[in-house]
Amino acid sequence: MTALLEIDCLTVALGDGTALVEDVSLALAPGETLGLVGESGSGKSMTAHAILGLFPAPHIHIAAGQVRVDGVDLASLAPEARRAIRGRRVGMIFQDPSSYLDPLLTAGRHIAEAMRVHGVSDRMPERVANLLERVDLPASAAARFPHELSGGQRQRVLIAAALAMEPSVLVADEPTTALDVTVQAGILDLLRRAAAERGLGVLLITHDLGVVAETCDRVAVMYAGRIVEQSDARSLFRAPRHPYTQGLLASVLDPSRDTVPFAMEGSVPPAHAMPKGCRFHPRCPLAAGPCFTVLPPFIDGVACWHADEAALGAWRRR
Amino acid sequence: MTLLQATDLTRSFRLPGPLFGRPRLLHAVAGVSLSIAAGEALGLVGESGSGKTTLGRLLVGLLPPSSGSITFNGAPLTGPHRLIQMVFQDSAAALNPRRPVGQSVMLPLRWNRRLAAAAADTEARALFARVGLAPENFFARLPNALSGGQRQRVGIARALASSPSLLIADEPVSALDVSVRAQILRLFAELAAEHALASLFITHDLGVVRAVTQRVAVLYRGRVVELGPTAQVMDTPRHPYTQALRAATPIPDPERPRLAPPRPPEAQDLPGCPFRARCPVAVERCAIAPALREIVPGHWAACHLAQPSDGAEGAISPGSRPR
Repeated sequence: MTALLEIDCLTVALGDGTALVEDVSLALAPGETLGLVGESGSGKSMTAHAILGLFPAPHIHIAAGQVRVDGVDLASLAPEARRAIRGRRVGMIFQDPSSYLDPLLTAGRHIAEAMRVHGVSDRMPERVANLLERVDLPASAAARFPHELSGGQRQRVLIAAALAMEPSVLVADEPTTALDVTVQAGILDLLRRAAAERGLGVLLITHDLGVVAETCDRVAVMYAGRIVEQSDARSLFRAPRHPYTQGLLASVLDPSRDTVPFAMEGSVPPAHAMPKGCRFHPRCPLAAGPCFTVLPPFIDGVACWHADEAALGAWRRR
Repeated sequence: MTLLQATDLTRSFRLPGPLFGRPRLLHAVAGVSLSIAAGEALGLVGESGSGKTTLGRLLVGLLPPSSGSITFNGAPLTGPHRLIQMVFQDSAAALNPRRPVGQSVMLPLRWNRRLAAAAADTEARALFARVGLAPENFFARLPNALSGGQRQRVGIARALASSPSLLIADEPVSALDVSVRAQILRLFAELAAEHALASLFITHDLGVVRAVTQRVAVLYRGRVVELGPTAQVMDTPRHPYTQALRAATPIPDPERPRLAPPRPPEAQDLPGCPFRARCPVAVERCAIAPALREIVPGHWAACHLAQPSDGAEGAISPGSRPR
């Protein structure tokens, strides 16, 4: 099956050449939910910005690599054509729904606007009502202003707007991080249904491995701007192979089990002070030999010089 | 031995009402009784709007209750107390941005413990070392030159500087990354053991509660709906709200069956049980508010339907809801 979204060796850099994201490759198939996981500073949100061609500051740019949507390289398109792809082919939702809704527009106007910018203008009330129904909101929500909606309802309005043009890809950047768990469960259920019923490809960016386990078919783990491990969700949770993935999974606090939280020492290095060699080596219990000097290649789903040894459990000695 | 006892605490806030009408009252905390034993870690969980932060502020003496009473070490608590210290969620806002962090930790030593400057300096450096910050590197820095995890360590050192017997931590790790969160929680657990420190952990995260507390109170709309030993409340929740919370909390296991999401919060209030409008098993009786009662020894729930048996037959066990 052809991929809806392909990212090839993407590097995103600051004006001075400091790389924020380096050599990232991902592919998203129809109906698939791909989780992009990492802690702050891992470059996961920057990857999402690159897909949309929207960066938070003007000097951040794509320094190398390609982003292809439905086979078309975004860099080859004129700004007009790129804008048409955003929203029409690629929908997006973010962490903080309030800052993406105009306080002076009703939810219905907001959703209608998302279609009008792409040239749709007929049967608007009917279209809006259908979209609201798809995100499990009552038709009466169309007349509500953002301040009259709860956080979860606002996120549903944004999902409705993002799905309005029937995009093939939805980029969701921490869509439930600001929400209560009982509300989060509803939003995740909605995303799962959109993928299963409409063949939507979802790129879910999150720091929460629990959310990944509940939602994703495949997972890519990022550390310090690079993908360190990528596999299907079941194998990743059952047998993580990179020492960082293993440490991250052991740090997760699971309410269903009595565990002492495992603490990986240290933190993600800042972009301007990346260690030489493997970026995880200062925190890694297996660091030895090439780890200090040479970046490990990404082979067979994992980027680690000691992948075989790590597969047995990198942190067992401690 | 009971260290802190809160009895029938309430706190309401005035909300702006209609132009000429009476202002509405929001009952943020509505009749909460809780006790914390010396050295015990108690968790307080609830979602946004449950009143958990207000309750924390009442217990630390930062906010006076509308009614009810708090006793601490056997004496009424009327305001902030040296032996009750707080660690906040937003470590950046909790530290003076113009004051080197070493100074922030020295202040309680000077004012609360009455140490001379040199002794306070020595003690503060020892506290820095204890929370995992090398004093020679960090003592003179301003808060903005520290990461979130490092700032939270300073916040903990400052709270410890007063030699408290009770630490109240309001979402102390929810702004931190997964790996840093685990580091800070381990630090809390170690310090509590070393200093025989009691703590109240206010959080929305059931994982945090399970990792660091022995008992937990579940708050819904300002009321305690369930209270008991943490492992027992997590494994066999008796209140439908706790069951919904448990079922909605993601677990890092992709093979767990996916459950239907709980009902969303209702805007309008029904009389009786506060959870009635969202409850999947509500019956007629629920029009009368249930009192907190002991279901099994030490495990309390405010639900008419809660049973001493595990209730596997009832519709309310967390795994049994159909999609």
